[in-house]
Amino acid sequence: MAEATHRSSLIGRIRARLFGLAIVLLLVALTAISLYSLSQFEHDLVPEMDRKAAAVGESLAADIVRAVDYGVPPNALKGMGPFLAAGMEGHPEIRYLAVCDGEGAVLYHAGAAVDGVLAHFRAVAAGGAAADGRSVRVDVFYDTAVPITARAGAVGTLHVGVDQKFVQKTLEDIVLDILIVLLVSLLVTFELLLFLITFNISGPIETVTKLMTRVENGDFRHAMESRSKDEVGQFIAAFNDAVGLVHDLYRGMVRRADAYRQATGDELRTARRRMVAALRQLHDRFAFADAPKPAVYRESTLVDVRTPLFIFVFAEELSRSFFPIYVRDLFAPVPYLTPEAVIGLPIALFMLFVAIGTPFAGAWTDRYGNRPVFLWGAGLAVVGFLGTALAFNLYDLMAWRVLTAVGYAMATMACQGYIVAITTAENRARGMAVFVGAIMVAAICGTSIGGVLAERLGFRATFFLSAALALVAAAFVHQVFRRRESGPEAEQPKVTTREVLILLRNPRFAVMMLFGAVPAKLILTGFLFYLTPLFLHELGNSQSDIGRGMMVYFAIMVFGNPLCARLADRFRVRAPLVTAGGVLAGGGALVVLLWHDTAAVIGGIAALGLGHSLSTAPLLAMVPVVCEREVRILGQTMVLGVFRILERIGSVAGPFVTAALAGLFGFAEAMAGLGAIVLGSTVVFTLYFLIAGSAPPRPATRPAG
Amino acid sequence: MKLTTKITVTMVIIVLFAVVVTTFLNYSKYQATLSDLVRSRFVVVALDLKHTIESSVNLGMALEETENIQDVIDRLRGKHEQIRSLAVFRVSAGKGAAVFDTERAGVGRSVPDHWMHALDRSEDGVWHAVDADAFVVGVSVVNSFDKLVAGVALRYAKAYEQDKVAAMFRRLSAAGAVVFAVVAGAAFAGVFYFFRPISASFARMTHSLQQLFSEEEPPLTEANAATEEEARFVRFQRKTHAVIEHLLEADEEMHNAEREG
Repeated sequence: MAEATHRSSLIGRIRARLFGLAIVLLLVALTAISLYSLSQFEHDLVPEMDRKAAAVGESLAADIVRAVDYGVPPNALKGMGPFLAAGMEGHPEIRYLAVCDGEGAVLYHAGAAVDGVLAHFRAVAAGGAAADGRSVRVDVFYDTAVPITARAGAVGTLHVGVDQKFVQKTLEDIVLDILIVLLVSLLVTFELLLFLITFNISGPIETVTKLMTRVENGDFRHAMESRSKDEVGQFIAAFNDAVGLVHDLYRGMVRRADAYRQATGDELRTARRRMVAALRQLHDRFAFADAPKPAVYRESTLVDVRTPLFIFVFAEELSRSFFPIYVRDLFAPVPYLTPEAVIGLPIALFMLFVAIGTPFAGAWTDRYGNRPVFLWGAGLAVVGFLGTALAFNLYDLMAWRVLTAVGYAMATMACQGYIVAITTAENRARGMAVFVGAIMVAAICGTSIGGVLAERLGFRATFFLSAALALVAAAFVHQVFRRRESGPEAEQPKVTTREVLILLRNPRFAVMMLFGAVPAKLILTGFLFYLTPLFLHELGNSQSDIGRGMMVYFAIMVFGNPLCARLADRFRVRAPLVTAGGVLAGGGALVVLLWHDTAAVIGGIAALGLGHSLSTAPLLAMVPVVCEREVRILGQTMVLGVFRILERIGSVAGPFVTAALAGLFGFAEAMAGLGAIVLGSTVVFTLYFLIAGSAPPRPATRPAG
Repeated sequence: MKLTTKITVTMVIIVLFAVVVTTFLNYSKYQATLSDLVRSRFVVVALDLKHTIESSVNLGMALEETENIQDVIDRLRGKHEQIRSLAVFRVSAGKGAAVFDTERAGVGRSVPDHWMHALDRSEDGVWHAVDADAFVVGVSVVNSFDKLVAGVALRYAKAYEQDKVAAMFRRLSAAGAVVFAVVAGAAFAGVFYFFRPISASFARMTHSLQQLFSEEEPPLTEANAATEEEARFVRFQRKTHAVIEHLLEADEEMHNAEREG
C-alpha cells in the first residue's frame, strides 16, 4: 500500500511530466510540419490540376480548330453538345465545358449550368482576365480558359470548369491523410517514448523508490543494478553502498557466530548463545539476504513485453496491405483450385498454422520459458520473411508463410505467457489489455506504413525490412526478458478434443460459435485481409491508399473495442451488442455492391471495425454465461481457450470462402456475399438467443422436505 | 550524464524520430498525389491521340496509311516540353512494333516487353510503366470490332516530376529541421524547468546518504526535507542508520561474548 502511494506521488509526477511534455512537444512539432506540408501541397498541386484541365481543353480545342480550318463557321458546328459531353467523360472533376465566341457569348456548352460564370467569360473575351491555362476561381468553379485559334485567327475560347469542391476534396483528402500520418507518427513515437522513458528514467526511479520503502520496513535483502552516471544512478550507487554496508556487517556477524558453531565448553557455548540471541534479535526486526551479496532486484514490467511485441507484430503487419497482390504476382496454378482460391491459399495457410501452432507454442512456453520460445519464434519468422522476400513462386511462398505463421504463434504466445507470469489475478486483465493494445497499435501503424514502404521500396524490400524488425524484436527480448519467467501460476491449461466435445454439446455454445464468432473471423480475413487489397488495387488505389484504408479497421477497433467492452459490462447487454455488431459488419460489406467504389470499400471497412468493436468483447463475455455448467467442470480459462481456438476456423475458412465467391462473381460481389453470410448468421444467432436465452435453464430445485 | 541531459536527449531523439517519420510520410503522400496528377494529364494527351487513330482506323485505313499521325505526335511532342517521345505501335500476336515514333530511329523496332506486359494487364485500356529515364503512360487502340490493334505510348521525363518531388523534399526537410530545432530548444527548456528540481533532489539525497557513513549529521533531515519524497528518504535514511547502529551494537555484544568466552 505504501509502495503504491509512493509510486503515485513521485513516479506519477515524473511520468505525467515526461509524457505531458513529450506529447505537447510532439503535437506542436507534428502539427507545424503537417500544416506547412498542406500549404506547400496546395501551392504545388493546384497548378498541376490546372494543367490537366488545360490539357483536356487543348485536346478539344484542337478538334474545333480542325473543323473551323475546314471552313465550318464556329457558330455552325454540328454535334457540339455530345462532343463536349464526351470530352467530359472520364474526368469527374470537370463540371462544364463551354465554347465562347470572341465576345464571350456561349456558343456550345455541356455539363453544369454556367449562368454564374458568364461575366467571367465576357471578361476573358475582352482581355480582362487571363486565358493562359491558369485557373480562376469563379462562382463554385475553377475556370480554365483555353484560346481557340484557327489558321484564320482567334475563334473564341474554350472554358473548362473544374468543380471547386473537387479541388477542395482533393486537398481535404490530403488533410485526412496528413491527419492519419500524424496519428501513425504519434503512435509509433509513443511506443518508442514508452520504452525509452521506462527503461532509462522512470523504471530505475520507480525501483529504487520501491526498495527504499522496503528498507523503511526493515528489508535489506536487495540492491539494484545501475550503470547510469546520472543523479538517479549516483543515488542508486549510494543506496547500494548503504545496503551493502549493512549486509557486510550482518554477514560478518553470521560468520563469527558460525565459527562458534562447533564450540565446546560452557563459556564458549554461552558466548555462542549470546551471539545467536543478538542475531535473532536482528532477524526479528530486519530481513537480510542469505547470500554473500544482496540480491540484485530487477522488476519486470509490462513495457518489457509491449515493445518487442509491438515491433514483432508491426513487422508482420507491414505486408498486410499488399500481400494478396504480391501473391498474385507469384501466381502459379494449383490443381483443382481457381486462381482466386490460389491467391487466398497463403493467407488461409498462415491463419491455419497460427491456429495450429498456438496451443503447441503455449505448451513450449510452459516447458522452456518465454524467452527461448520468443527467440525461436522470431528466428523462424525472420527466415519466413526472408524466404517470402526471395520467393520464386507460390509453392515456396506458402512454405515460407507457414514458417512465419509458426514463428508468429510462438512469439505471441511467449509474450502472453510473460504477461501471465508477471501479473497476478488482480492485474492480469490490465496485462492482457497491454497485449491486445500493442497488437492493435502495431496493426494500425504497420498496415499504413507498410503500404507507403511497399510503394517506395517494393514488396520484396518490405519483407526484408520485416525480417530486420523481427530480429530487433528478438534482440529486445534477449536483453529484457528474464531467463526463466514462468512459475506455477503461468501454467496454461491444455486443450484436448475432450474439452472441445464437451463444449460443442452445449447448443448455445455451438450456435454462438457457428453464427457469431466464426462468421466474425470469416469476414475479417475474407473481407479485410483478402479482398480489400485486391479490390482497392483494382480500383486504382496506390499501396499507400490501401494501407491507410485498411488501417481504418484497426483504428476504430483500438478505440471502440474497450469502450464497447465497458458498455457491455456496465449495462449487462451482450447478445444485443453482438447482433448490432453483426448487422453493422454484414451491412457494411453488403453496401459495397451498390457503389463499387473506393469510398464504399472504406465505408465497409469502417462498418466492419465498428461492428467488431461492438461485438468482440460482448461475445467473449457471453462465453461464461452460456457455458455456466462447462465453466464449473473445465474452468473458465479452458472454456475461453477452446472458444479462441474454434473461432479461428473462421479465419482459416475466410480466404477460401471469399476466393470461391470472388471467382464466381467478382470482388465487390464477394464482399457483399460475405456481408450476406454475416447478416444471415446474425439473424440465426439473434433468433436463437431471443428464444433460448443466454443462460442455460437451471435444474429445477426440489421443494424442501 | 546528468538526469536532465539524459531526459533532454531522450526527448530530442523522440522528436527527431517523429519529425523524420512525419516528413517522410508527408513527402510520400505528395509524391503519390503529384504522380497521379501528372500521369492523368498525360493520359488525356494519349487518349486524344487514341481517338484520332481510332477515327482513322474505323474509316478502314490501315495504321501505316494514317500519315497524319506522325505530324500529330510530332506536334504534341513539340507542345509539351515534358514529353520525351510518343510512339504508336502495332500489336500483333502479343508483340508490339512501332509504326510511328517521334524518335524516327524507333520506327520499326519492337516495343519493350514491360510495355506489352503492362498493356496485357490493363483492364481499362490505360496502362503505365517505368523506363530508365522516363515514365510511360499508354492506351490501347481498338478497331470498330473492339479488337486491340495498336497501342499509344507516351514517355514523359522523370526529371519534371523528380525535380518537383526533390524540391518538395528540400522544403519539407528544411521545415522539419527548423521545427526540430525549435522543439528541441523547447524540450531543453521544458526539461530544465520540470526536472531540475527532481534531479537536484536526487543529488541532495545522494549527498546525504554518503554522509551516513561519516560521523557527521546527514545534511538532509526531517526539518529541511523539501518534498514528500525527501521526507520519505529521511525515514529510509534514519532506518538505515538505525540498523547500522543496531548491527554495530550487536557486533559489540558478540565481540564481548567472544572476549568473555
